[in-house]
Amino acid sequence: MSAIERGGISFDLPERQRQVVGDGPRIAALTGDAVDREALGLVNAVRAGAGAQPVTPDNIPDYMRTMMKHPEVFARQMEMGTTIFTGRIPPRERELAILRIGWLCRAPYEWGQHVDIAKRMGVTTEEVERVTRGSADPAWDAHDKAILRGVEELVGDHAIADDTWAMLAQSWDEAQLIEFPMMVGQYVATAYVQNSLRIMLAEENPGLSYR
Amino acid sequence: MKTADNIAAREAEIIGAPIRIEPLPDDELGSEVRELVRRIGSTLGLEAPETLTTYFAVLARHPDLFRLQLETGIFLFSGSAIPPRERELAVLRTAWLAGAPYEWGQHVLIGREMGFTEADTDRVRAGPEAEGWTSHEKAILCAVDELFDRQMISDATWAELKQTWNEAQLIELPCLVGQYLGVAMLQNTLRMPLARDARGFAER
Repeated sequence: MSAIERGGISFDLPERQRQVVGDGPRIAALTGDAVDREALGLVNAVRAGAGAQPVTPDNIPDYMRTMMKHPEVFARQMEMGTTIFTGRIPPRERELAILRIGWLCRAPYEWGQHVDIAKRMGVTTEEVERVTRGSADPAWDAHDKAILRGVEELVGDHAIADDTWAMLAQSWDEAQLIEFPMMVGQYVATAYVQNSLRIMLAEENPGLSYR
Repeated sequence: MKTADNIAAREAEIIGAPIRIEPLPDDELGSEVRELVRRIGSTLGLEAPETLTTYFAVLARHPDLFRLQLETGIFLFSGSAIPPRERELAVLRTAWLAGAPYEWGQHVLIGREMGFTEADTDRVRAGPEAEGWTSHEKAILCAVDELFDRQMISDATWAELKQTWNEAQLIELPCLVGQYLGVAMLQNTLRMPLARDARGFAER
């Protein structure tokens, strides 16, 4: 994106999904029996942090088993993920931001996965749909609107504008304001990686059409 | 971001106004942060390991992120699969496209230690179509441009990178670009002033 997108973006949704995930993964995931104890420990520590049950190696998502082919990067990502998941920004606000990131990056995997997570954190189906229409939709309250604007500005201009910053600073403290651009960068990075590696959608993830 | 006027306007937008969040004063650094700085400074062999840059002194207001950023810095010293010169090429192009004066200036200096000349950094500004890149270097720059433009590396660029790189290196590239884009977003948003003697976009 080289422009700030405050509203709906027009793109051919099935075509984008074919482009990103239609043609097999570019790097095969590690098979379950090749997952070492250390990597499994990292996965389960992250899951425990998010309140989820431990998994066996065969049940680790393809995305994680692919990233394990670079153990140092994988470890950094897991730690970053945990820090953000247990961070200062309230979960519902974080997930609103991630959904807008996944949509602007036209990232089928990230979008679909975070529709589920967002709903667990209190985002409604109507709000998921509204995220695709961006901060310009009149139904957002001032704080949610500022979060979406912040994402739109970071993705389109790589900085947050003064009026958006002022709106966020009305509700958030300094640690939250520092966390926000870092968190947006992290989820843009995740979209870059998942799109570029052509990580296949998990069975329960319909991708960009998901609401 | 092509003309001198554009560059000056961007620099004014990002660092022409005061920093948005003040660095934590030295005497307010918690013991956890202080210990991390000392440990990591000595790991990296820094001369004055207990002196924080403004950037890290602001991050110290969020100790968890502070720790992650320092550890990521260490990882890039020791755990990266991409050769340093190729990594800097990707980071410089990322800083340029992100319109990030702080990151650009810092990484031109890092690049210089790896043998980058003024002509090299000028060519990074010009991008993958400039004369003189090897096909592998050109593919690295194309990948960065494609990630910014369409959030995915194209088939042609992927095939070219694959001729030289192994799977770990291929996995690392989009992570690396995303990581430095995130740092650029944060530094731009905070209006991180240039360090003393630093020259931002004027650095070549």
